[in-house]
Amino acid sequence: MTNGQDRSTFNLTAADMAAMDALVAAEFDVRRVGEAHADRAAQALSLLRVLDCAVPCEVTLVDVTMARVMRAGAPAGSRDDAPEAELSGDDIEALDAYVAADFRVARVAASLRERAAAIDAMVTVVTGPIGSLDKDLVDKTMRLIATTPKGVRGEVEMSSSARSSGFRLADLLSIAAVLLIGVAVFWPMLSTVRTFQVRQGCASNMASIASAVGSYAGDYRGSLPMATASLGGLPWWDVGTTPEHSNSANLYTLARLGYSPLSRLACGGNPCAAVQPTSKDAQDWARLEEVSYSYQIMFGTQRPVWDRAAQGVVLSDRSPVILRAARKERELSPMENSPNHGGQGQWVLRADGAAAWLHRPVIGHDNIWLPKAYEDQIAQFLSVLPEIRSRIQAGQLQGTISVDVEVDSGVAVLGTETPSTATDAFVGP
Amino acid sequence: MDPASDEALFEQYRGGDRKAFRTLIERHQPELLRFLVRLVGEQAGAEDVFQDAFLQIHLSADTFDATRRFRPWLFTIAANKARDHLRKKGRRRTLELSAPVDRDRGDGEGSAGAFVDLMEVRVPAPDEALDNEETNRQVQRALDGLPFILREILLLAYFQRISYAQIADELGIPLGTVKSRLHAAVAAFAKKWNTMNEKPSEP
Repeated sequence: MTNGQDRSTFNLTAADMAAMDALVAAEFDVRRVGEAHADRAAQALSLLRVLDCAVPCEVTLVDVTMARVMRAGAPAGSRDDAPEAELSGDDIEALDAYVAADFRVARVAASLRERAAAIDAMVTVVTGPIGSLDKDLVDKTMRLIATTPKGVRGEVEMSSSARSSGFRLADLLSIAAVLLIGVAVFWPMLSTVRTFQVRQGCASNMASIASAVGSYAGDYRGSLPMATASLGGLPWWDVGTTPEHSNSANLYTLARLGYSPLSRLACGGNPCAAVQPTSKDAQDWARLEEVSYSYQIMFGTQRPVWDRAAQGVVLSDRSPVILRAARKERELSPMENSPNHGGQGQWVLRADGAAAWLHRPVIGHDNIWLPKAYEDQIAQFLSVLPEIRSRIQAGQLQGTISVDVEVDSGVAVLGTETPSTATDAFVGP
Repeated sequence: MDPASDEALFEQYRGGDRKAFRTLIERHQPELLRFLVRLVGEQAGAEDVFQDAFLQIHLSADTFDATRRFRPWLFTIAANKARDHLRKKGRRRTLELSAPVDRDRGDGEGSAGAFVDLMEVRVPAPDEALDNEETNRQVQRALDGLPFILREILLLAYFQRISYAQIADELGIPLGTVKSRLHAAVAAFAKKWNTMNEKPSEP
């Protein structure tokens, strides 16, 4: 890792220095480098070309960045005395409860209902039917928010400026609610509404997949969809290779055999999701990023079945841990939520046909992204970490603690794991 | 219709047009993210720094001198954020010992001030595909072996393709220093790269 930086220095030969300078002056266009330096400049460019790299297909980064910028409020120069607006703890709780209650105020616990109603009013301003609320109002509200110092309660100012624009009382109340809650929540809320729609789409996918798996199980003696019978111990995340090396090919069976359209296996929150098969006889998605749902790795010691009495997890929104592990990222967080729904949670489909929304990737004490054996190892590792740290500080141990230690301690996800038991929730690609 | 320049878009944003800012983010995403992935060494961290950089741009909007170029400003801010990120990460994750183990000691790698001749470095052929994982990892390992200031100048120069004078201006260091740092950076990178390609890579 970066600790191993080399302290010895190197320098270029005089000829290479001159060529490098010429290359920079020509803005890295070798054709514009004079003949005297052309060969060396070309050589330098060929070397530096290795610095280019492909960046993965993630469109959410722009959204997230924009949301953070908007949440930050006005630029430094224009908000000299503006106090910071932060949602109060109660409001955060109310917002969470409101979203968890599928945006229905009546379902929010009584203690938070009043705050949830205020949030609901705000959502109505943003998403309400255009009939009662013209677009102009939303624009005016946005402008007002942009020019109102953060944290300032806006009723008074609002009423005077609004009266001249001729708002109805109901509109005014909504706007007052927006300002009371604070500008800080506004943009995240917009994205929450979008996320919510995607979440509803996935709920409907869950029902459709449950029905497709049910039909498959009916035709194949209770078995879950599978493409091959030999997966255990082999790498299983090489999506798009052969069914022996790709767990997703098992799930793809539903589309291949006509139990489900591929579009029903695609989540709206996955920018790379494939909705059409690439060819008539395709057996799998083309690459890992296209797969929207993670499927239970079936080939542990016992095979789980599709059964009303069974409790295991069959399917979930795609696993962030597997995505990162397959990209060879070293930092994996078992508590990370699926990227499908803005990191807010994930759907799981159980073997008894029930779907549930999880705010954290845990069922009981079982993490759904990792096999049980790994969860135990992580727990053990975390329990001895303070001891290792204090012994290093006391000079009894040599070395550095870095992420390498986590790899050495055996918790690297290799893509060959299988669940420990039939009830261990562990979903693959 | 010509697309608006970065500077014009930024002016529009300062006038209150949010869409203009979004356009700026979208426009610079691929290049800036590539730059940051190489500088920070991993995707997730690079994405965090990417956001931090635009947030800083937003917060410092009023201090930006409209006669200057937007892109170098953005990259310089991003490089500074990357430095902060790595520093924080280092503090959180690594307990440095007072005398760190010199992993490179004794493997015969060059003594101080050794010269590297670029013509002797094995470089990929012009048509060689480079976006495979193995190459990617090697490049990153070679970069990770460079001190931050060298990595920064190498990547700034390569990804921005601007003159020494502009780099000097943006980083606030003398022109001569920019030159000598870039020379040292290219030499160190070439040396690392070569060493890696000579030896079979470690598991």
